[in-house]
Amino acid sequence: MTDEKFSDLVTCYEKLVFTVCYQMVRDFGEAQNLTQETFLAAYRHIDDYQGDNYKPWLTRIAANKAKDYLKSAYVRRVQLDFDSTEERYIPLERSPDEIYVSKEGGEKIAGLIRALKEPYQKVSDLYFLKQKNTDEIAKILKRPKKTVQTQIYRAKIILQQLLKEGSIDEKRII
Amino acid sequence: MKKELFDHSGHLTDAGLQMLISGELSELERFEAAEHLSFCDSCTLRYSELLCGDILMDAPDLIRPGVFRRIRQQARRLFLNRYAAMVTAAGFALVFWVTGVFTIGENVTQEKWIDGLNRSTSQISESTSRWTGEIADGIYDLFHDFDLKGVLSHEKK
Repeated sequence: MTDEKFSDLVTCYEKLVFTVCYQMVRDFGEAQNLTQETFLAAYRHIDDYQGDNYKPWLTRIAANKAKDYLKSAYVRRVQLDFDSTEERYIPLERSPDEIYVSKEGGEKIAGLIRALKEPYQKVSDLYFLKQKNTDEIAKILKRPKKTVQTQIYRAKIILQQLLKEGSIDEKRII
Repeated sequence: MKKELFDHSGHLTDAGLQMLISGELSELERFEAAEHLSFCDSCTLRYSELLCGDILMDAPDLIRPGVFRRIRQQARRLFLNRYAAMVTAAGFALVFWVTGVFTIGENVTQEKWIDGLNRSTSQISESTSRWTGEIADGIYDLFHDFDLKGVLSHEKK
């Protein structure tokens, strides 16, 4: 695609991309920055794009950029939260086979997992209860491996919070 | 009662997409929605079809010039990195060639090798300053007549 055509594309879809970015991050300045990053990424890959409908393609790139931004913001906040408290019911850095779950604690965790909402319920069921690894889960659920990894990470945090609220003895769970 | 963002099959619900558009989702929910849209074709298509008419926001005037400024910056950086790497590689090749580093163990004594190294250091210094001048002139000429289309199409290739 020539630069003139790309310029036309920017003119045609800048409203769309900015809207997607703003709806995701809800910050005017950051939406502006992400819009520029979206078009930069589109510029780099536009010759590889085979389709002719740029609307969903640009929407996806914009969502991807917003996801990266929101992920880093989320991780920063979660790390701060954990730094400020010493309670850790399920270690975030350990694999499930390293986590010893007693019978009573295990039943409670299974109950909590079944009560989780999507997009965490299936991932948690496969990871914690059926002992599948991230590659297998990604294949089963048709989700990118990285997405599965971050969803497991967040599921652990949600489960920790639920366990904390339920006042389950830490020794029974880990 | 708040509507569900995802259905049982793990896809975004219509209500969830509407909540995203109307700004009713929390930061975590927006993150989950963005994450899903980054890989799900069907939900991305549904979402993009909803974005039309009055829903679309006016983009700030700075976006378009900002995009092209960043494209130019990127092209310039790529250009400079490429030539800096070439100059560095050429410099190393010259050092190895002049000092005979590959043959030191066979016919060259240590004294000769050190003499050669001292001699070549001054030669390299002269050559480097000459090359730097030439490159600086070249870069100046290039950006003096900077043509976005030409440079960018070159960098794309």
